[in-house]
Amino acid sequence: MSPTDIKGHLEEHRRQSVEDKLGITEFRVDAGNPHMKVNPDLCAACATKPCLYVCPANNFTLDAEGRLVMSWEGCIECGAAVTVCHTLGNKGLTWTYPRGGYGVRHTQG
Amino acid sequence: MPEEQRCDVIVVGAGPAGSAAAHVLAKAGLEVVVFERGEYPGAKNLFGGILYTTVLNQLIPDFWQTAPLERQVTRRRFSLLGRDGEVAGEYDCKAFSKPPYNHSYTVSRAKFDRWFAERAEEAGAFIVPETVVDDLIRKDGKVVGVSARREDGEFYADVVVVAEGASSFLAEKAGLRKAFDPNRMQLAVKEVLALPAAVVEDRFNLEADEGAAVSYLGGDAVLGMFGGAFIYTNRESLSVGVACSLHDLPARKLTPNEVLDHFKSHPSVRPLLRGTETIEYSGHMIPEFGRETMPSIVADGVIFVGDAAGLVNISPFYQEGTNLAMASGVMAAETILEARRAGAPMSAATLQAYVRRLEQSFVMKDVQKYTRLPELAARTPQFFNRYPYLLCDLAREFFTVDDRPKEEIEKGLIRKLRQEVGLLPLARDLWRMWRAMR
Repeated sequence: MSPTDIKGHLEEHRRQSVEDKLGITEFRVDAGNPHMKVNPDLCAACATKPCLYVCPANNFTLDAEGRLVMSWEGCIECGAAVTVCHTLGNKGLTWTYPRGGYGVRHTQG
Repeated sequence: MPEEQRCDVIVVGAGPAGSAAAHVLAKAGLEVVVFERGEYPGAKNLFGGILYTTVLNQLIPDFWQTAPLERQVTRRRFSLLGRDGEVAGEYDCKAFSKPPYNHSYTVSRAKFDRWFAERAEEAGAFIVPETVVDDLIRKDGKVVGVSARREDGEFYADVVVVAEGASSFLAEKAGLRKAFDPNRMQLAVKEVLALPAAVVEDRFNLEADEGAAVSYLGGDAVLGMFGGAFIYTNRESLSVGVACSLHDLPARKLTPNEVLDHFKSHPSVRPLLRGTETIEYSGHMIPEFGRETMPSIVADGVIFVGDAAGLVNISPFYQEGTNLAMASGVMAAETILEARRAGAPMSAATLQAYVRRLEQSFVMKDVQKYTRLPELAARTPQFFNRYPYLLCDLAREFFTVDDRPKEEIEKGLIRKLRQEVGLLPLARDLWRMWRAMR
């Protein structure tokens, strides 16, 4: 038997959305001061767009025209997007740590 | 440069590696400044895991009497998930319920790392939270300090200990590491699920204070990708997560949250999570460089420790990180102290003694032992996407009750194994796996 067809499988179960999960996680957002940015030209030319599939917070999505849309407030700072962008993608993402004391704040970890 | 901007040692990061280094150095009387980007040490940290404490116990004897620990791990379970079932093996040991508790605990990193950093502070280290270090300062090729993101952000020291964590930007900026290999980097996502202590104990067959660690290897836990899943019992919560290679997620066009939701809703997992409530969501990378692709971990004026150096034991049975981090922090500190006693400059040649210390200890020996596992996983994906499913299928046939004579059932199993994989290819793969772990 082969691995489950996930999309079909997930439909069968009530899920908690990523937004719900981020909603209960603590953040101190550095308003107006994003710690990451994308280069629209490089991202438009990126055939693989691996960032779409590795971000736990779904911060990278496509708009109706297929253009990459990035949000940063819900970034949990795992570093995966920038890692795959610079190796499997077109190096369009620039990422630094948020300002000290800002960003995600674990109370459990 | 003003005098107050200079100290003996700068440590970047107040996780287990950085705090261990700072603790040893400060105790020896050195002036140590630790920069931590979180609001408090631990604010950015997490693991899905067990804190192994042999190194910690040497640093802070009988730490278990005061440290914020969740449960001592007495029960280890290893599981392979098929589509609608599970084949698992378990080891439970009551001797592990007595001091020193087999040196294995579940902890909340936000609480433990904070406590551990406070012990370094108590030893005399100066911890500066809410401060990002953006770069190393070099002079004539030698690292002489760090550039921190704050006013008057240049700080100087004889040597810098980088305990930055898995992202390791400072090593990249310093040209000491190449871009990560996605096959050698795992991404873990985790949820902490609240559950009353009595329910945790009943559900996982534990006495008070005892804990369980459940490891799911490949299979339907991660939809056949290179990786695994985990459940750890905390006092009043469960840590539940999945880890997959950064190569496989885009290749399969699956997001980590989808994989985690799939794991949580698997029919053999769902009952373990019944009645829980998610209280935190988090993600972290796990470096699996092994020995061969490990970056340079010393250069003139700088030492890398913990995840920043890629010091992780990736064996599916052990999965150790925090103890290797603490051990490397201690060894980096001892190397610095030895160099100072000898009056030697903090050059790459002097600091090479740190690498030798690691090599003579369990740290590098264990990293070396499992260094070929990621390559094996990339070459033989059937360990993750085929064999766990096959084993569950075979177990199902073996246990299915019907009127066939048992001899016929057993012959059927061998026949199925021959058809699906072939005995020779299976033996070859198992041999390869055994070879990759010796």
